[in-house]
Amino acid sequence: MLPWGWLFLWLLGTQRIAGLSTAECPTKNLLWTYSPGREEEFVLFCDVLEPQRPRFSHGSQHSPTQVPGALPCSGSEDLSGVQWYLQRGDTGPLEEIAGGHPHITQIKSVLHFSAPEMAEAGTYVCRARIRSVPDAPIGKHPKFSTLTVNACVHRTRVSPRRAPDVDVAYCLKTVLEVRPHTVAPCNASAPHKQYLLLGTVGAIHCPGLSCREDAHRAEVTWYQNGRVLSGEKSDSILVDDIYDYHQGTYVCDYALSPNASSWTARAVVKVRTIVADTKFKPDIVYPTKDVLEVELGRPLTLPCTVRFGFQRNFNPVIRWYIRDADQEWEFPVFQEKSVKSTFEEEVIERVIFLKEVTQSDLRRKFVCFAQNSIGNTTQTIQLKEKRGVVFLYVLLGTASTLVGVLAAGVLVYTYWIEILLLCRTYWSKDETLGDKKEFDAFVSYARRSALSSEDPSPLSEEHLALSLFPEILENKYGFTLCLLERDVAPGGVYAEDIVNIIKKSRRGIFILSPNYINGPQVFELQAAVNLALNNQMLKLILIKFCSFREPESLPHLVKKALRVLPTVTWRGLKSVPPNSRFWTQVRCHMPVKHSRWCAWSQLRAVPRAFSPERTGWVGNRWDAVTV
Amino acid sequence: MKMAVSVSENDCISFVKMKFIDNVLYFIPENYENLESDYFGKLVPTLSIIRNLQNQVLFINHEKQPVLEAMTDSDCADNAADTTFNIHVYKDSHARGMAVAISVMCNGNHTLSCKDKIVSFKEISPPDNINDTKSDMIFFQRSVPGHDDKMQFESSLYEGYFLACEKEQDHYKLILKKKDEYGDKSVMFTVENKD
Repeated sequence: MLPWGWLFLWLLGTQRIAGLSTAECPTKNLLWTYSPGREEEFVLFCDVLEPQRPRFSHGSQHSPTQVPGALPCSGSEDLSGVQWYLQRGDTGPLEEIAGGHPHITQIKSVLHFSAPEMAEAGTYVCRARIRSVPDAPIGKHPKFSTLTVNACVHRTRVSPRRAPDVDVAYCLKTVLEVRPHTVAPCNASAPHKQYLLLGTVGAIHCPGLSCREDAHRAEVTWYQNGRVLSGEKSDSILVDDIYDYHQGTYVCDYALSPNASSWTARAVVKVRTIVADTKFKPDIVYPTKDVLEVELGRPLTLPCTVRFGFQRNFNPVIRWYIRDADQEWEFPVFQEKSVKSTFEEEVIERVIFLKEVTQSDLRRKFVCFAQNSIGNTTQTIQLKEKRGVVFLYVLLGTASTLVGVLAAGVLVYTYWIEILLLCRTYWSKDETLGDKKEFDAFVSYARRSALSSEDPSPLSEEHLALSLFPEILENKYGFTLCLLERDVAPGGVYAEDIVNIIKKSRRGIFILSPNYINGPQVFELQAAVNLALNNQMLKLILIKFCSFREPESLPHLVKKALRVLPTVTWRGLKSVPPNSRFWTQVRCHMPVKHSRWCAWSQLRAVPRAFSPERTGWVGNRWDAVTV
Repeated sequence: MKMAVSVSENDCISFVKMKFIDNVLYFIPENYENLESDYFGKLVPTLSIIRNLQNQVLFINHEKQPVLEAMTDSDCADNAADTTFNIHVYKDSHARGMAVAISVMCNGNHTLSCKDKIVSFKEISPPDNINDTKSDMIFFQRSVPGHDDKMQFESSLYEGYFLACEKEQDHYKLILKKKDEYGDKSVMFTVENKD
């Protein structure tokens, strides 16, 4: 039985709360007179200004002690779960205002009205639970907030050993009436948006009161951002040193007329703290340079970042123009946003987007134009093609080609004579019918010196030159040879004779040996080489009779010739018989009979000629293909 | 107005290796080019006198505590060693304002520290480099909007906490506190450079 009784009582209790008649709530009458057409805001607070008995308590015997003059702080930390309702007319259902209304927003415990024309007059009821600490001595040090703008008392929390915290329900009924101004407000009426200059002295005026003559006698209640400014009672708030914390939403409440029944007029002022208007033109932060490197065919995002100084009537202008020859037109914007916004400045960025950079874009000039009421600035930017990767390859190729050409040039210069001799030897045409030469070949050999008393053995150079060569080449193969002793008339100048003979010969055969190289006959070789270089019809054949060392004093040309020219090695007795390989090779080099089967032996001679470190003759590397 | 957001190529760092050492996971990046470790790097110092808005001068007392007291200019000059502070500017890898350290030379170098939200002097010189974005010795000196001569010092270690002047019994001392919502002049100081 008993539990059912408690349950019944509890249910009754809850019923009482739900069906709480609004008649028991303290009522406030507010009037909102607005100027039609002007932007104005209005707010309703759920503030408890008078001490009232709690409606429902958990068993605490006393009502929370109220220190006279002290108000429980209706800061958000104390109010929880504020619910607003609208009641049209005196009787009628309570409609919850929960975000469904487009022009009414609830921020914490405050109801904001954004458009006066759409605001509904009626009764607005707010219900809140205030966390009230059961009476504890206020404490030795009541903590007042430093600037004493709000003389509410923050009670010190007591340990939970005492009676538990009490959640006390409050309600407040506000009758709102919305009326447009019937009479136009006077010229001196304060606006609903007011500005305070930082660092100076200023004042905030209550808009509704500024036109009344008895304004100075009115009792005004001021609120800043929802908190009561208990120190301010007159129609304007004087601020003697303006700081950024003075910015906010101020509300001034005043009695409509002393005898009228408790109607209060309310006006809302939005106060902004500002710095003085800038005296400068806007400043283009980016782009700074006149040229921008871009890649053809790729998209491009071009931002223009401009810094504007603060201005109260701020009308920034940023535009991108394209200048092409004589024409100039505006580029459609892709994106514009504010990058940084402080008290002193505003940085805005306007971005244009090119889907693909074309050749024609490279010829145009892009101009960023920024303007404020002081003046304007421009920055022109030109697009330039970025040297792509392809260009790098081209550069590399050109460089390597140049290096190659240079190296080739150096090589050619160093080995010019060798090259020339080689060319003449192997690649020049051989004419015997057309040329005016007398002899097929001229034979040069070391003459036996007077000091030598040896008998000319069958294997001496002289024998080779004077006996074997004529016997085989002239008699057997029918060549015409020229021998100095035999064919030249005595009495002439030696040098002249030599030159003449060589000019008249198609070939020059030189029998090389230590005697030859170190003797005076080497002049003949030198002359022949000179002539061969000048005269394409002369080819030289070297016969290596026996190995020798090249002396240092040898003329430069001769040295080169020795390296390059075709050499046939004399192998002593083996080479004597007419059908030996020696004679075959010699015949190979002789005129007219330039047959193809000589070619392979000629080619073998080429690699040997190009070794520059030779000081002596390396052994003949003919493979054993004996003929 | 379109708000387009795109990740720029330079925002990503590729890691090539990772390793667990002492319960900490370490990463080795592909290249160190764009990476910079968090740090404060000391630059040049300036000599200054710091006063609050009631014109009380900050100085270091015998117990090596930071206190404020009203002083005439001649008194201030006489006690130059205690009232002249070195404000060292630091460059910051994470720029949030002018990073400074406040030190005074009085029988050794003492640097202001806000460790454990208590303001005191540490008997060390301001370090040349601090490898962190937060430090008990570094404060961000910013001017009050609209009042370019007044400065506020916010702790880099405790965000939202400022150096302030508070009365304690019979003297005024420097403390660290959260700025009052509705205007707080106790966190504002003027800095007079003596150069």
